Amino acid sequence: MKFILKNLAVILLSVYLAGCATGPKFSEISASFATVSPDKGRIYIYRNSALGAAIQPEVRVNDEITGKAVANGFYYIDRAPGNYKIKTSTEVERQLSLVLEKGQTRYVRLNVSMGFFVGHVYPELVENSIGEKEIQQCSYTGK
Amino acid sequence: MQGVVYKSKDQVLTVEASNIYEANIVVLSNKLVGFYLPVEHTFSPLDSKVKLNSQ
Repeated sequence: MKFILKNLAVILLSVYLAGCATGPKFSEISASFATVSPDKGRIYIYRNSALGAAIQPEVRVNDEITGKAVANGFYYIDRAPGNYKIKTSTEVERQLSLVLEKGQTRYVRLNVSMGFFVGHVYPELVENSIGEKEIQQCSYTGK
Repeated sequence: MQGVVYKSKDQVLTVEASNIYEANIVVLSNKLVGFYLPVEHTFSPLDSKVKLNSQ
């Protein structure tokens, strides 16, 4: 019985670690990012929790797949000013709508909540002062 | 007139229903009367108005 529990714990830990982002941390890599061009804005999308790490839905921005909601991961997109709808879907679909202005930086946190069969991942717009702090320990998952 | 739309420069305001919407407050006669959703171009009124203590 002890042997089975031990193996189960190892398997669960492996699944947990496999679901987490492994790239360089924001604090290590952000200085190398190109500055946003003056006619665009930047949206950082990050997930700073390892809860439900195996669930990694695609993140769509105005119906375009921009990345995945990887646990402890982040990426960014630069876009022209305008209205944006950021969507994730697991067993339910949650959408965040926001306005991006020229030269503006916005932070979108991907939260995890419990669902009936699987956890839900949903986007939330956070203040820059919060996003700047929370993203520091997230690993880059962009291209 | 439904009210005047005020937008924060450094704070984030969202309204959550089935989805989450960035919002601006709408004020009329020193009362918060609802929210303007800029992406949806929609005014979402409050059932009961909230008096504001503005200075």
